[in-house]
Amino acid sequence: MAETTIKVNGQEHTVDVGDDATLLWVLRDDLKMKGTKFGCGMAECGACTVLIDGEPGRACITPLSAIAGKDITTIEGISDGDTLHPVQQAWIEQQTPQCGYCQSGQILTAVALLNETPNPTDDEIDEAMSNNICRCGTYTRIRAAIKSAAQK
Amino acid sequence: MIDQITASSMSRRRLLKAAGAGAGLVVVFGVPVQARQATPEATPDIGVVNARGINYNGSIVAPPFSSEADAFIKINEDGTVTLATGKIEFGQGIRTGFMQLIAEELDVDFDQVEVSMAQTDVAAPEMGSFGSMSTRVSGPVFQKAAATMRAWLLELAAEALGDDVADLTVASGIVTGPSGTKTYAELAGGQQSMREISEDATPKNPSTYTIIGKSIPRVDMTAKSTGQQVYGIDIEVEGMVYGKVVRPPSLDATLDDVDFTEALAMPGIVGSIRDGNFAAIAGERKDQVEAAIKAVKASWTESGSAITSENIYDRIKETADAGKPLDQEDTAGDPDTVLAGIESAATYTYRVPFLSHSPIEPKSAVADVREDGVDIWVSTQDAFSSRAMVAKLLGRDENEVIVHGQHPGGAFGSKIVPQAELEAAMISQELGRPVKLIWDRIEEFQFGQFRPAMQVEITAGLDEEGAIAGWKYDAYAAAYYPEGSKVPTGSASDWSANIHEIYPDVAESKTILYQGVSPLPPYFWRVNGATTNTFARESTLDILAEQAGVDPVSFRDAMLANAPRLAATMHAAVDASGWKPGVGSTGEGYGIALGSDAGSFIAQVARVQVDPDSGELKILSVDAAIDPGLALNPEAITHQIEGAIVQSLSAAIREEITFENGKLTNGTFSQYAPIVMRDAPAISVTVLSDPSLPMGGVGEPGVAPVLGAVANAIYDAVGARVFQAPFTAERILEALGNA
Repeated sequence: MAETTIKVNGQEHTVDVGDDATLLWVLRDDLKMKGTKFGCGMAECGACTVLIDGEPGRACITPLSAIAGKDITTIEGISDGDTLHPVQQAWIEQQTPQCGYCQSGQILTAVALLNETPNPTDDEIDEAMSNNICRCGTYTRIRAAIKSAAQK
Repeated sequence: MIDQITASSMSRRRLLKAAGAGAGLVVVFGVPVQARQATPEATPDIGVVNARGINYNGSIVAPPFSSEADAFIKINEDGTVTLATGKIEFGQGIRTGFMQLIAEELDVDFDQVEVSMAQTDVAAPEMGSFGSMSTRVSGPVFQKAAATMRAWLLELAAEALGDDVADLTVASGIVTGPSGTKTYAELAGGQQSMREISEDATPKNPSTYTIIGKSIPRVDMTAKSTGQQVYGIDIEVEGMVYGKVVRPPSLDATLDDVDFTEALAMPGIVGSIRDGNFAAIAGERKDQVEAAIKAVKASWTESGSAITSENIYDRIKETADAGKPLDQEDTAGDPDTVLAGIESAATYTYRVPFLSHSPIEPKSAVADVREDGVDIWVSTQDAFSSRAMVAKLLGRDENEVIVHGQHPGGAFGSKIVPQAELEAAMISQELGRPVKLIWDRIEEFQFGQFRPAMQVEITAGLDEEGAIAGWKYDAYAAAYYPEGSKVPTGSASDWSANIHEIYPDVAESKTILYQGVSPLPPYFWRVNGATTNTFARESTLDILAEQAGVDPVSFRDAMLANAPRLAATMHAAVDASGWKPGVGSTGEGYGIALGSDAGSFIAQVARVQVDPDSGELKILSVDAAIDPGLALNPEAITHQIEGAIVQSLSAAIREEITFENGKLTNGTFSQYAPIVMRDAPAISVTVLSDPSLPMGGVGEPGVAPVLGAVANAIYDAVGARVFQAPFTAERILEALGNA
């Protein structure tokens, strides 16, 4: 066990964990931020997607040593006070989620896409979003929500 | 009809406690017994758990369905309404739907209704959430209970105001009469009264509905877009540790020996348990138990199953006699004799593989086993089966066990079967402290359940008028036989097998379903057999339509003279799709398939593009129409159908569990490769509503037709008939070679 400091949603947190600890479980169990989800632990489903210095990354395989000095953004950190992020607003307007479990990862991937490409084409949406699995099958709603958010 | 029910005094005490200490009015009611009987197969079997390594002997019977009046609706003293139900929300929209039903009947604002779900110390032992039954089976009972409550409130208001009930009106929970007004809060305040559901209570006339039938946004959209929705995997309790099970190398392996010495010396590890085939460790942190489980030395004897995903179809047929033909056997006329006299009659054979449910939230649970009681927190579709099995496993009375059912992060049938909570309970009992257990993805694939592989053989031929002269349907399904049992655990392989369920007029037909021995435990995967059977049936109908020289829609029309709702549904989908089959040369094609499930009628048109050189298949669009009778919330129904289509497309073009030696060979997301954004087509859904009809189910009907519609569209595009799912490029090329 060793003390490590990480920066999440603009705030620094010091945690005392071993070498095997991953960002996902530090977020969930040490910082009690449960919005980031465990799906596979193998970076294959996208449920745990967070932003690492603005780029989508898989918290489930990210050791704390890999994020020293970097800014982590989670689903809890993208709204501006009570005002939800435009992507979240679009998600709600399109009634995108079913079970909702994959949606934190979907939303953060979409946020990163729109930061990079404010008006993505269908192909660009396919390219950016096709590493996030939704078993409920909400892809058409996710696509519509991304296009709607792009207009906000 | 709901039987008039007498609440026992014990139920009353329990109820008044469950309904809360606060004042209010309570209407109690039973959940109809036939609701459970409608799906006897839904009862999880402990045999399934046996195969997973829990050392537990003996059979278990799920609790008989409640015939006691112990479900309730309550008007709280602040005028809000509480409905307690054993059902659970997991994205299908039933919380919103129940709120609409109750608000409508009680004339309160939609957001004044709260729904308590799947808490076994609060709700009646209601059937779980599966089979598209929540709204259509429980909904009408809730409406009647709410109508009872409304009549009671009017009685009280009439008394308080000195007016006649006939002169009262209600809006937003305020009763108005000639002499003044009374709010529900005023009427319920200071009361602690209970009444039973009245058979005389009359729910509203559907023509007066103002909330039912409206597309009210589902109430959990904000929580699910902000990371605030709580799932079973998010639960923590004071003092808990993480458990981790020592898994066998293959299914049905037996544990010879286990040595925890090294693991127990590792950081954070607090204990271990060995009980027969079940072995597990526990530790302070998740990463610690994951590191330590690798240090556990276990030796197993494997069963050495020779069955593989390649030979499973032959194996099912060979072993079908080990069981009995499913009692689903339907015969009309003498199709054997008729078909023997038809030269063009032929047999068409279809195959579908095992599928994994693979919800993104894996199985997980928190168990706290104490002397004074047991608490379980788990994402479950069936909290009361979970309670029954935990109680049985621990040798406790069911009333000592409270299951706090949590919102599952995807389920699709897999979270009907109690597993993680049994394992967590075993460890918690051993250690005397709360234990949280989360399956990893490999466990979720390997040790869960599977949609059964099936082979369907249809023998059919046309008469001189080009109509179906005879139809023989033999289905062979993988089934799981618990040790020593001659009766397979149910897997609903027979759903939609009987052509008469869809096309009532086929005069000469015979349907038999055989169940063969499976190395993998089959279980409900959405509509299960209905997907397979609809694929086989609808493909064969297109083959016969071509033989008859008519287009697929006209051929079906001729079979639907006595199924006008399905015919109308078909035409709605056809119209929405721009139906233009026979383009052929462009590699684009249209295909149609129909279904009927859960009291709803469904039709889908798929438009696909096939590259004849590579066999590559692209799904361009799916246009669906559904007639659910009364459409409670059209937008929510649309969403359900969209999701069902996407998941079933994944089964159509991608998903196939492969295995050998009792081990999956593609048990990860990257290997199993469910469809993702780039595979998802444009989808349109037309919802036909008739408020005068009962509500049909809407969760599952969208699943069944997809494979048939896509297979028929592939044929229309390139003239190649695919008989085996998934429709990979390799199989399409093979079919092109045979074309």
